[in-house]
Amino acid sequence: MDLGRKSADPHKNWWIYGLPSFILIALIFLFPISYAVYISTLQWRIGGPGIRFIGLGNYLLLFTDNLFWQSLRVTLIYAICVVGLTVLLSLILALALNEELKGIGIFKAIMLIPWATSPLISGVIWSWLFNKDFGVVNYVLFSFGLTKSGINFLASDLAFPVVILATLWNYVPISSLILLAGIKTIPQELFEASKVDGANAWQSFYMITFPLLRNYLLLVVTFVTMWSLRAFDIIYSLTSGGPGYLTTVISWLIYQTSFVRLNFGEGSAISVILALITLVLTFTYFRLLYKRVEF
Amino acid sequence: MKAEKYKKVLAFAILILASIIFVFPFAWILIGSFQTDEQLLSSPPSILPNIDFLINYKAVLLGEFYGPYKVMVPTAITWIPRSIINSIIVAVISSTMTIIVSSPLAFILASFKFRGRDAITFSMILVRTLPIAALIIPLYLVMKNLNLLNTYWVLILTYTGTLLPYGIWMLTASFQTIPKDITDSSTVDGCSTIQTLYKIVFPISAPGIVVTFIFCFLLCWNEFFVALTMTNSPETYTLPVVISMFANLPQMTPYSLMLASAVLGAVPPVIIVLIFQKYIVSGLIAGAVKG
Repeated sequence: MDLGRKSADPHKNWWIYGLPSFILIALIFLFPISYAVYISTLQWRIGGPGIRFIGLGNYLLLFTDNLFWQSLRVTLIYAICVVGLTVLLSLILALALNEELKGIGIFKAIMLIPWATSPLISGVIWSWLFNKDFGVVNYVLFSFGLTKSGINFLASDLAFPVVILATLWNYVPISSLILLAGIKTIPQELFEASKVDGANAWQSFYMITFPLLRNYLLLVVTFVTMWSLRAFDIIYSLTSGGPGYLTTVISWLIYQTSFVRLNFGEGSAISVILALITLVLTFTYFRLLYKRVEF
Repeated sequence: MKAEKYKKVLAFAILILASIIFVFPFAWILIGSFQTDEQLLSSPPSILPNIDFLINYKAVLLGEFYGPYKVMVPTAITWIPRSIINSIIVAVISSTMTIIVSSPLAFILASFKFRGRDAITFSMILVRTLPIAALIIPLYLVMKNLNLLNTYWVLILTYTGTLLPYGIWMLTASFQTIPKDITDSSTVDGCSTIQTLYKIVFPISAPGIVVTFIFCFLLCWNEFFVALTMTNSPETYTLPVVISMFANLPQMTPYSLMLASAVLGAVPPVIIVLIFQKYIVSGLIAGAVKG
């Protein structure tokens, strides 16, 4: 009678409970990523000559392709700017939020609004604000006599900073809330003790807050790196990768290569490179993250 | 003491400034969505709503177009109501499936020590960080071969799969807070592990399950890339896909209708997040940071 239960003894047969998850993850992640590696060795363009094996041909082609290097450069600069500025700004905000001010709840609630707004809609919002003819930014500049006919932000070199700004709007608030959660875990006595020892605000930040916040900072860095490496939606609605290829991030290039130019082989090769970059970074971060904090 | 006071004033100033920057863009499209194109495109910009301030929402949701839109309106706009329904259906089913599929594994991970436990947890995190763009071509081909392209199922399957690591992670953290005595005693009472899960663990960790559901719902509602590549008809388009179609038109962007649609896309997540704000941050960092 107990047979059914025995076979489900979680100590021995834990995998039964995980089976549905494992199947889905294999279908959605593991098989596709392996298949992508395979496709990346094929010449496979819809409407082109037939599918054939070309080994590393797609990769060699990419390495001589200016557009590929351009998109890699754009992605890295974008990620570095976004991660760096997010950490800096959200740390300042978290420290400000940590001061027990009246109405702090309202500030915290406000912080969640940009994060809840999807990057696609964030792009719509910011392209409206920076619209050449009707945007409020141009109106303000115009009122101060700084422009006569309106600056076409999204069709100029300024498109990149606007993309960064819109991305920061999405990610800084939530990051500051994560860091605030981290600050709250630091025992208050440490600060009091350091005050007794005559430490100034900067010293107590540098000696106490920063090291004890390490894991939370790393978590923010991890999240924001992942988010910025996969940036696509905000590019789609804000700049469509332009002007020229100024904001062509790597996900945008994958989309264009695979679903507009219908070159599955080359698209897969870029996909594999993006996956490798992501995995290497994740690995590094997690090695750092799961090292115990030492006092 | 004086330094303390300056610190507070500075903090307050920073927060006020930041709040303005965070709220203004959102408030600005909200205000714009209550205006007709004529008001919206006037200079100087006005913040007064139209007399019929829901005029754009009536147009977008009920098809009651006004002014020039009576004559000509981008077809995509007429797809908005259907796409909202599609978004809700896909998000609700995917989130529910995520919880059903991930909870047994999460329960095992939370309650038992076994070989390979850490490996599973770690690979879940690793998998979670893979950008969907890196998987999209094979996924597309798989779904094409399964004849699922352009159906709800392609979105539901993909979303459930991509949400699983989140679900497992968040539910494990939630189940870990249940005292071991409770689950142990139910096993003694003759409940199988699965019965324990559904009869004991689920009710106790209802808040954690709700938060996980909310999280999954938000991510589905906002998802764009997969929906863009895997669907190609108004019957399956989700709201983000439809918005993307007329947000970037080279000529004649229907500005006021665009703003109303953007608000429709943004307001549900914002409301949900504000209701559940207490749990959002703890949900995000659950299990990721220990102490």
